[in-house]
Amino acid sequence: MRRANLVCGSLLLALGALSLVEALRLKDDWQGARLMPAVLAVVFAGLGAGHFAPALAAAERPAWPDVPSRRRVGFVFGVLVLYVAVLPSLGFLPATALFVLVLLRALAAFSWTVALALTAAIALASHVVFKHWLGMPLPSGPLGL
Amino acid sequence: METLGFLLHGFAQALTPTNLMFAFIGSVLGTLVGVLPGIGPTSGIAILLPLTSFLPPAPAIIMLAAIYYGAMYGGSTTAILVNIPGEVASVVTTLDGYQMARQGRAGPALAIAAISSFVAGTLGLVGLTFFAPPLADAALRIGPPEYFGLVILAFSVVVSLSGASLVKGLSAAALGALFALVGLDPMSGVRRFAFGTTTMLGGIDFIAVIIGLFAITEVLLSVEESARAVSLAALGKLMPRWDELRRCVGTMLRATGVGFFLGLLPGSTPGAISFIAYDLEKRVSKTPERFSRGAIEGVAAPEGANNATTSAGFVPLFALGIPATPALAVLLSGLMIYGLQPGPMLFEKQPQFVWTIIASMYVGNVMLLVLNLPLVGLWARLCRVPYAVMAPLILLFSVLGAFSVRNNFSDVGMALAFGVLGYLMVKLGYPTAPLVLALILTPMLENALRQSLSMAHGSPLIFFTRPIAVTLIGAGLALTAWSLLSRRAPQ
Amino acid sequence: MIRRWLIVSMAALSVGVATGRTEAQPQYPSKPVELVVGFAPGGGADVAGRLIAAYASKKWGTPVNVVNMPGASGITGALHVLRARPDGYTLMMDVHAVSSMLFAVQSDVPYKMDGKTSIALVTLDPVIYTVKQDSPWKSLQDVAAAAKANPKSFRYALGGIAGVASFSVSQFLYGAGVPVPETNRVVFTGGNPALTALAGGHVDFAGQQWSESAGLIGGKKIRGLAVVHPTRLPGLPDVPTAKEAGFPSLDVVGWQGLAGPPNLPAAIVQKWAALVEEASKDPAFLEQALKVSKVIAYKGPDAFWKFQEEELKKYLPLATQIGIRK
Repeated sequence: MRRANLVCGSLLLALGALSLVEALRLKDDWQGARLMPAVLAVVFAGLGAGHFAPALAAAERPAWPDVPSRRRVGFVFGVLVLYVAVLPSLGFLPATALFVLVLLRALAAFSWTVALALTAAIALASHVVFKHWLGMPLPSGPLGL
Repeated sequence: METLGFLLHGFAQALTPTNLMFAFIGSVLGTLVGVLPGIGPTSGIAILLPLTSFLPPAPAIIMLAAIYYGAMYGGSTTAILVNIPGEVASVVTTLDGYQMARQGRAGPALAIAAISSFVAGTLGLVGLTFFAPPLADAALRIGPPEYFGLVILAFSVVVSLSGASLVKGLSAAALGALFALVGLDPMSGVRRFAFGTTTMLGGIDFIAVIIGLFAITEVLLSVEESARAVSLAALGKLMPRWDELRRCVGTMLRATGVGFFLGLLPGSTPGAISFIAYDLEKRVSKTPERFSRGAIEGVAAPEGANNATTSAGFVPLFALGIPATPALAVLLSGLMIYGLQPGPMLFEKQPQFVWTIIASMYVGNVMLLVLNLPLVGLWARLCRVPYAVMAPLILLFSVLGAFSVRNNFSDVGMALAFGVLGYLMVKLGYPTAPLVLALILTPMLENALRQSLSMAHGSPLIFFTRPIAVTLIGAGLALTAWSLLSRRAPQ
Repeated sequence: MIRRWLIVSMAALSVGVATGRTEAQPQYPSKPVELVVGFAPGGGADVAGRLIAAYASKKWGTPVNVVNMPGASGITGALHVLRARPDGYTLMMDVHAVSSMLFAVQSDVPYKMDGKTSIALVTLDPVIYTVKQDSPWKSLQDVAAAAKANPKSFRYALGGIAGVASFSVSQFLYGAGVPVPETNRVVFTGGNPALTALAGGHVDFAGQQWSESAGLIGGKKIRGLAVVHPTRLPGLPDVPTAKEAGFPSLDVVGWQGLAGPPNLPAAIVQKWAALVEEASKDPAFLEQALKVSKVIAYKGPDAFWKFQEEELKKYLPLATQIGIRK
């Protein structure tokens, strides 16, 4: 816990320094655009220093998950990032279908039949509702979907 | 009672089959708009605005208004079931609503949200009916120094939202304030914390932040401990117990008061108002420790405040032509397309129209209650869908919701980043609610402070020359002190 | 499209008339056109955008959808369009706040003012100088006299720094010989909050656009002293023109037009320009514009661009003089 506090405290001090630099850099009045960054610099400095106080060290410990859980979280987030990354080039419907399918297979022991049926239902329904009915300008890929 | 006569005439109009039908369509669409994360009331109304070129004014405005207040009913649903606040105003609802759902009490949470929405929305309409013009005039007297006082008062909530460690709660709030400053400053035209990128220029949108901090974080936490899923909770009773309802009567009345009076002020943000109502409830409660652990009042208060705010927003809209929210701005342009210029003259020149709309809102609120209570069972059953199916759905809706804010992928990226931040914050024991509150309040604080100073040639003395401002600032400081003292007292 | 479906079905329901006046257009537009508005729904740019979008959709039978991309005072939306493919399916509402006025205020805008294809000017939104309804000042002369006599207590509102009011108010104050640096400039985030503060008596003077001011003037919360327009405005017969009020040199105006990415094919530009020109002569369109407090003022592609260049020339020295150029 001690270490986490030191890291967070240092981070806050860094943000305080950043706010101060920004306040000094801006071309405006101290009663204008510079005011809030300056105030924040002071606040961050105080809170950062507060993290080094011994009282905080006694607070509850962070419950970091074990390795398999950590891997699962990383995997799901990685798939999500990948989905957003390929969405513009692949198109909404294909990318969404892939995304849903991968997660369904990974998160539960669905058979391929069930997973594919669910994927088709979710991807098609969201395509129709959001892109078609609500007219959201979601990207279309090479397939035009 | 001249007003009552007008209102009765309004009801006669509002209850004609055509107008009833459009109120119903609006209520249903509004509920949908509230439930679907990809679309809020503003875009919902904007999408249907072209209908105004075909419909006569009364049915069209009845429908558009119903979408607006209907969305407030729908917004709580996802907040309670899956921890995704559909609207900024529903952020507070997640605190206790989602906890109730995890305890298998999604039914009562959804039901109390609908009931409280109905009670407060309707009481708010009573205020609109009888006092609109004088209230609107009074609201005009609230200027930048008073808004500053109001923000100070609202910031006192941060202390009581802070959880175990005050330093950690305040740190989260400071982080929120920092994020609020990112982007182009509309008052001076300078760019702050944008680091030369054009993506950061537009600032950080709070819908993206909320989706990241709440929805994505929650999915990551659930994936981590696969047994955590709500889906395993038994489907308990659907309706709140009688004693719970009785306990919530006071809550609803207080929420109405807070929501209605703060909602009259066009410069205050609805999101902040529900935080204040929640905090008030926690303060008057004899058992404040139940809050954030699934207290039913913690759902009734913000939902009531939301809907009272919604009703109150029509006061400056009708009486002055001032829209308090973006959604009302779209509604205003709808009125103007019909050549109906809101303002005191609207009540004099078009009494039949105004009173028909107001009467239809009473009708619409009843419809929404009748519509939403039976839906409670259906929604609550959603909790039984396996989490492996819910998780991809929630993530998909998160992406769509973040995208829809500005039709922009950089907001989606932002939501993902905030998902990670939220996960780390939960793990390290930092509460996320103060971050959201500060994100909402900081622009209001900064504007009010800078405007006040420039009104008085840079002299901070302006705050002491305005009695309402002094009172509000004093109350804010007193509340902060009270919270700090009660933190020290043994639990 | 749910919205098309709804429009059609509800029109049939309520009026008993079906729409579908579709003239088959083999070439452009063959699919929905996105008209990007860099501001939230309900604002001046949005209202003008929806007017012309509705007209075009009806005329061509292909939907022209208004897409709101608010952020960074309109810059986010402008950037999106200027970087889009120049195929005519991504266009923008070009307004003073992302064109002439923005370039007068900022030296480092992330795009170039001429990095676009100007299509047509659609609407003008004239400036109205206003005071609180019960203000003792009855004319612009009164305001000037009071501000000169006591500049330190004179407070005026601006709805955003790159907005119309920055220029309209300072042009008036400098022109009248008021010591501007000594006065109190209170900047708000938009026209609506600025005028709300004026109605509440928290500031003394404003110069916002017609569409923003009309409601509060009609509601007798604020009073118009002069309008910057060749003629008096419909619905405001008591508000004199700036010339009548004795200030003929005032000429700041808000405007909304159409623009697209650079290198937009000439045929598409012409097609849109012709549509706007036709709309500007359509009585029904004019009436709709009047209801949302806009003056229809068609200018073709070249005239529109020239107009913007003139605007910039006018505003640049003003922005430098009042010290808001960054």
